[in-house]
Amino acid sequence: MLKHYIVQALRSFWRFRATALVNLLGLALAIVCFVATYLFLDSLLRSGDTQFKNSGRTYALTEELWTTPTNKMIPAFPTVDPGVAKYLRADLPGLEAVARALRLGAVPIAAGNRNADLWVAAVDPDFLRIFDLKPLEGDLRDALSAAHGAIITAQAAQQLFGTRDVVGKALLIQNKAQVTIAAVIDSLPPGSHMGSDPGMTLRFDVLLSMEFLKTLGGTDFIGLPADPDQPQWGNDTYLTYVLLPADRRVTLTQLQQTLREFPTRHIPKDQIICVYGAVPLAHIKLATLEAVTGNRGIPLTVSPFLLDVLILAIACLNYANLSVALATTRAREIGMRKVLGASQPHLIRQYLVEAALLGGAALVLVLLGTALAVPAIDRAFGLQFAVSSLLQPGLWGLVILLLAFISLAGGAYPALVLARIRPVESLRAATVRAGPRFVPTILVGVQFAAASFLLVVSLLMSAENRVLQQMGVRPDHDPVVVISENLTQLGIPFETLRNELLRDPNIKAVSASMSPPWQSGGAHQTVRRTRDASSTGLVSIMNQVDYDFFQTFGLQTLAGRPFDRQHADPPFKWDGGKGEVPAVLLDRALARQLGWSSPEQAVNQTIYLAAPWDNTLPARPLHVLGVVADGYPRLFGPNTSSNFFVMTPLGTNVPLVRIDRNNIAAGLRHIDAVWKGLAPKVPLRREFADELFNEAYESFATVSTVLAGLSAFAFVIAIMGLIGMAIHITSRRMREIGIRKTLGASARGLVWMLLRDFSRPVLIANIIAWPFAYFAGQMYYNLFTQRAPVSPAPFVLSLVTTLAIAWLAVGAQALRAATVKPASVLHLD
Amino acid sequence: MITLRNIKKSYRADNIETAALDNVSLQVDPGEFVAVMGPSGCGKSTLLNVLGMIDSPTSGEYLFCGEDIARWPESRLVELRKRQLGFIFQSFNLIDDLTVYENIELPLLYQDVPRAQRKARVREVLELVDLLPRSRHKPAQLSGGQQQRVAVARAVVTDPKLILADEPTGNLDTHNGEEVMGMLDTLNQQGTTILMVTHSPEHATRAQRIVSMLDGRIATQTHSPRRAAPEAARA
Repeated sequence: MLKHYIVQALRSFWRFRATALVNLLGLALAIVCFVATYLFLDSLLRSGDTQFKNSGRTYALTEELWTTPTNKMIPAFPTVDPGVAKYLRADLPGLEAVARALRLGAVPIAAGNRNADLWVAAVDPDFLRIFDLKPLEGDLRDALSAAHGAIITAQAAQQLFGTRDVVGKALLIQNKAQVTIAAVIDSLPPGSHMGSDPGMTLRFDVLLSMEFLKTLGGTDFIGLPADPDQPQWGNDTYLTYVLLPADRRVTLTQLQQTLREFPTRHIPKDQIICVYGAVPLAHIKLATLEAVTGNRGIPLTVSPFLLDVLILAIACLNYANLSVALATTRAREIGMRKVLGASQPHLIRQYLVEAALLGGAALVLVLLGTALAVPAIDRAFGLQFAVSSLLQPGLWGLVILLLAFISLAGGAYPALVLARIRPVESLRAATVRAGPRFVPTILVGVQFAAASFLLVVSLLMSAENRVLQQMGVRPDHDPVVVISENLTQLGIPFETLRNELLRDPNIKAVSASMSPPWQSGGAHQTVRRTRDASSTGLVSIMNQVDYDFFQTFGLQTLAGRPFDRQHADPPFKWDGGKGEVPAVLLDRALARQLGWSSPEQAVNQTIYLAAPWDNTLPARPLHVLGVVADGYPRLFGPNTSSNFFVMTPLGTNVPLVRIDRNNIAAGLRHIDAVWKGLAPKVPLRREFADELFNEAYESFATVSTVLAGLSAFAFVIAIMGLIGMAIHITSRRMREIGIRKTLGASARGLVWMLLRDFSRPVLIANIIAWPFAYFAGQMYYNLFTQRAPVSPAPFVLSLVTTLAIAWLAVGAQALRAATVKPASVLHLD
Repeated sequence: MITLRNIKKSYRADNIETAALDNVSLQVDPGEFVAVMGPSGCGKSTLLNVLGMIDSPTSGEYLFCGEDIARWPESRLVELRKRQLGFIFQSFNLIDDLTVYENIELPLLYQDVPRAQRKARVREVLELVDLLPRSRHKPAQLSGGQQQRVAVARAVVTDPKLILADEPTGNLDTHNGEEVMGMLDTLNQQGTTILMVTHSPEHATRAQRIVSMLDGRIATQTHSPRRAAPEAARA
């Protein structure tokens, strides 16, 4: 019997080969999208951290900060307060190890007569217990037990010393204190969250002991205490790792429970609200990515799969739709089979075999498609897919399951319905339907709605991406050079650098800021219009800048004035300064959010900066000097799209230089020459702000392009199915058309009738899809600090496009039907 | 073999009820050849559909071999149908995707007959209808007469007790029609009960009994003197 089913299925595919091909391609395309998404995300998130021997038991702590129970200020980054480690060890003594790591950034290091800026991190001794770093020289065991021990990577040792045989040698850190190299380590596993490469969550060339921080006299990060063991709740800047014991006497559940109770147990009331969690070590990169995009509802890395689900659903709908249509064509055959003795199980089995064969053929196409697509995607995005990812049995098991589900789900409906129809009804093919009349209409409508949704969302995303690109790449503006050197650490007065730079006419402006442009996130603070702590506070990002910042970045002052030297505007100091009220500039977005409908209304007003770490402290007043245009160079908030600016001329450490765009080379030569004069032994690290934008935008752009690509695929699948349905529906009406023609209908009238009938579900489907598309578009827009205006254009274009496609598909068939001789179609019955 | 008592079959569409069969009572003995005649719309095909268990009566009794099957569910009817009945339709109703051999083999497949037995039986009936050389052809490659012979072969391959033929010669020319009637005659001689709907008075005379219908009722029943029921009637 199986042979019969298979033979019947193959012959049926051949007879209705157009429909079978549409189904096959739709299925295969949907699965290829799924596999490609899987591989893409796998390459993004592939974590080399799994190569650490304890990785299965190691977790990184996360922390969310809330100013009120309903206002999340900072999403769950995998960094926590410095005091958490100490208290956690006390709360869970059974933990095998708890260790912190603090990123100190690029620090000037001298070794003899050689200097270099190396990336430094300070860690607790247990860090080496958690992570089995590979020593090439020296002994790791007690390398960081002493405050002045250090570990250096082989690559950094080579850079600094020209050899890796450096155990026992001294390093002078920041011209302040000396450490001794206790060990040299090999490169870290590729794909790990730690290492020497840019973009690492924990970037280091040199590891120092956390004790050593006390000898450094603090760092230049905001609010860090000189003593890292002092708790400072809400100051989530420490990576903190926890190693669960191998004997499971402390479990993950217990750890999570303890973390949930942690704030109640240790953090005084009226402090900022902290919510702690733990993520597996292998998920640190993922956790950072999710936090950067704001932890909004649907994780960023899940959204491509949601799109895949939509694509798979469309493929499934396609299949069901076309199977239903095909089933009615084969109704007479089914009726005869029932007459001849086929039972319901016989018929269902027959359909399932057909579905399985189609699914199998789709699998072959998927293999072929993946083999072709993967290298192409790899080349396009430089993702370096691992062959091992392609060979994961779990992936292909899932693919087979998906194929089976789609083909069975899609084929089961007509099978079940037709199997139940009485033989005599099946034999009257003109009247039989596979199920209720509204089902095909709904299936077609849902497909059109899905296609419309995808098209609108793709267009909205493209609009937003254009805005983002315009933010970053502005060829008609003077470029800004970012000097990635810490002047304070090098002992170079900023004003000296500035004055020297401004000697050259190609240098248009010089300023500085606390952090480079295009960094994700920032110093989230809460501001209010009043002192009253119970009034609604707004989360905004505080940017510490120097004079001439807005001129350097080309941010227009809309009202009031920027900081200037003549007025000696009071700078902002964390410790309150001399009691003066610091000056502040707001961007347009914050002014509007604070209730000022025009920028002028905000000038000379006072806003209040809430003390984030301790709600019992009074809010600090800030005097609004002016309002600037939106457009501070930042891609992601998260959780906010507004900025305010305070002046801290002594605390800013990223010099920014605006060069005349007509003479960039000369401007760069001057910068290099000035630097050489001021710091002859320190090679200058500088980048264009555009380059920083590209780095920030790159990963996101890849994800965005993948989403857009998936949307396009889904759209194609939906349209293929629609064309198949249009052909079929029109064919079914041939007899009716023949009768109408006999009664006098014109060809044009018939074509218009068919087009009109098919347009109705398209229009309704679009209207249904639009709110969902708008909502999805808004979710995407809310990730960014700059948002494109939502215009009706994408929605109108979606309607026009889907109508055009429907008309093309139906129109061709309608024209054929309308010109057919009535006798030929009426004769068939 | 078959007893119908007060069979009614009506169809309802938009509050309008149409009676296709109105209090039809009929008895068919084993081995009989019965012809059903009447004008279009009189209910002959509906009667055949009810007798063939491919449609259910609205009310009344249908006794098949002594059992009232009028209210049986489809799952029971299909079992009875495939073992006891054979069907021949005016428009042949062969399955286009299957070859001649496969079309004839299909009822045996649904009865889970082993392969070797299927093969032997299909060859036997192919020889009976003289279509062995065409066993691999598809229906589209055959003439109307040949297609109907395949349908006849398919109807008899399971050795049914009752064959229901709905205008078996309606789409055939005279010569082919005569061929098909000849086959039916032969089957009846061998003891198969045959119930045939026909418009042809000439073909109707081949039956032992002619049932005339009008407006959903049996108008008259006449016995044809031409033939008597065969002695080897199939119980």
